[in-house]
Amino acid sequence: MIRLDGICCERDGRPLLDEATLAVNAAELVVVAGGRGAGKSLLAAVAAARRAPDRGRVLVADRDVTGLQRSSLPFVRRNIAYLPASPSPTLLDDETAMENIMLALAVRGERVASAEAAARRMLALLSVDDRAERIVATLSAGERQLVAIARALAGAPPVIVLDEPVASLGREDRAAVLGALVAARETGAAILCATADESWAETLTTHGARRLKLDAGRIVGGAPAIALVPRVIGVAPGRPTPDPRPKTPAPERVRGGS
Amino acid sequence: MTGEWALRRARAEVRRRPGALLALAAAFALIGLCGGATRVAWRTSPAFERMAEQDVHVIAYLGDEVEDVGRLTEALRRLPGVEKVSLVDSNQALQRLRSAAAAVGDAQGALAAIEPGFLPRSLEVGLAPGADLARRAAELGGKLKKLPGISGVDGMAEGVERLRTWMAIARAVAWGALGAGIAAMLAALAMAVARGRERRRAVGETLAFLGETPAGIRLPATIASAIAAVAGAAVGLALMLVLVPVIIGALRTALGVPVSVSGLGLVELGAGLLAAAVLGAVVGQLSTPVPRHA
Repeated sequence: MIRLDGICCERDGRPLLDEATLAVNAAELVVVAGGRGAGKSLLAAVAAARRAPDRGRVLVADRDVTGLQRSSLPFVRRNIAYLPASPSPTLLDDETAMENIMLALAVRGERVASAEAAARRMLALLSVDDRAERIVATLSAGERQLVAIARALAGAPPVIVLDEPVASLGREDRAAVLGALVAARETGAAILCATADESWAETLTTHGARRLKLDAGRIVGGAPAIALVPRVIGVAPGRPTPDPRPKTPAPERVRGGS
Repeated sequence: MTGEWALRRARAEVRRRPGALLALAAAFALIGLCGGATRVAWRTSPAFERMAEQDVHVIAYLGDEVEDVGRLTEALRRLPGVEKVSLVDSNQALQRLRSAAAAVGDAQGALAAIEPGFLPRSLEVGLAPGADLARRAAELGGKLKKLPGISGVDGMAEGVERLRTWMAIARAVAWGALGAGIAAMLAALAMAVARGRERRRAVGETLAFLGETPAGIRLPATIASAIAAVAGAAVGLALMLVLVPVIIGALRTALGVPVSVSGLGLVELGAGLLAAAVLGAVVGQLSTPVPRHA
């Protein structure tokens, strides 16, 4: 579903991403872990078609989006739910949580009624449904983050790219986000999650995520993407095929959600 | 973004960011008021000018020897630019003099001693209305002086010049008012655009981030602005329809000139509202900054 092929990005001659190659297939969750300055956020932005690489190709649903004209990019971006790292989740402060979530669905052309239902479902899944009609500016940092995640996941987007989604969240909220991600994967979404949080990366891995390591712009751990595509995404050479379904059952409210 | 969503976003904009839209509506109310008044004034001013230019005449004083006034009158009527010729005898002249004196509060006693035959007979030679009255009056005066039986001519140069001055002042005031109206409109529009841009920047950023096209980003503000512009223009035109007849009536009373004023027709009102909608939409487009990465 998403494939990064030899991605290189530089700043002032210094490589930020160096031949980064990975692929995330439908119904797969890939976690890219790495320390500060490893290039995770840049990788996520490139994967979400928000930033063009200096070299390399980005393919979304087998379509090379690297060389697309500017006028075509919005149509690609609207189908890639992207959550950049805090503190800029680009929420509208003077609108309600519901309106913020519905806005993403509006851009994708959902009907108002179905968008409203999807937004409420996602807020319930993340246990912030009681904040649905609150103005975003009045929410706490954690609640804002959950609303931003709800906006990214609402309406079953085919591709989801998350950058440090749980950095400002406590244990309960993390569990809710995990449940929502697992539910999204079950609907067939290709999910790429970048994080510096080892415990979160571990949690995702124990729930069926394939884990990659990014170090100084190079993917040094996990399976190289080219070896994984086209149909064996998630299979590292010489390693058993991981079960794409969660290893531990998702919370009850998750299964009852989307 | 579909039309359904755009309308919903436009409603949200009206609810959450009324300041910019109110400024826009106020600007268009002013445009409706000034534009409508200008249109009515444009249509009415020729009638006013014609009225003001009527009864401009040159007075030809008759010598005592003239007996066949009718023949002279006929000869004058045939002159180009002459609309009418009427005889004012001594009695009428005295009557007019007394009326004029009474109007300026002069003592009637000073005129009481004048006998009816003291004032000369005269012919009032009325000029056809039109441009360059002063020149035509002077030319006619020159011709009249050469005619036998005419003892003197009052070319009414002062009166004609005064009329010309007043009309020039009226035109200058009208243009000044229009200029002030346009300046106020432009200021209000600039304020509306500036306020709108500031408020819509964040929305544009978010929509672009979510993958909206530049056209989709601008659509809600375009709709909201067009609606605000139409509403404002409707208020302005309604105000104009109420105020202009009152002002024209006051002018009519002050000038003593009967002028009929027709308001704006349905076609003109419709065209005005349509123009407001288009202009409002353009303002909406201009006041929605689209991020460069969109």
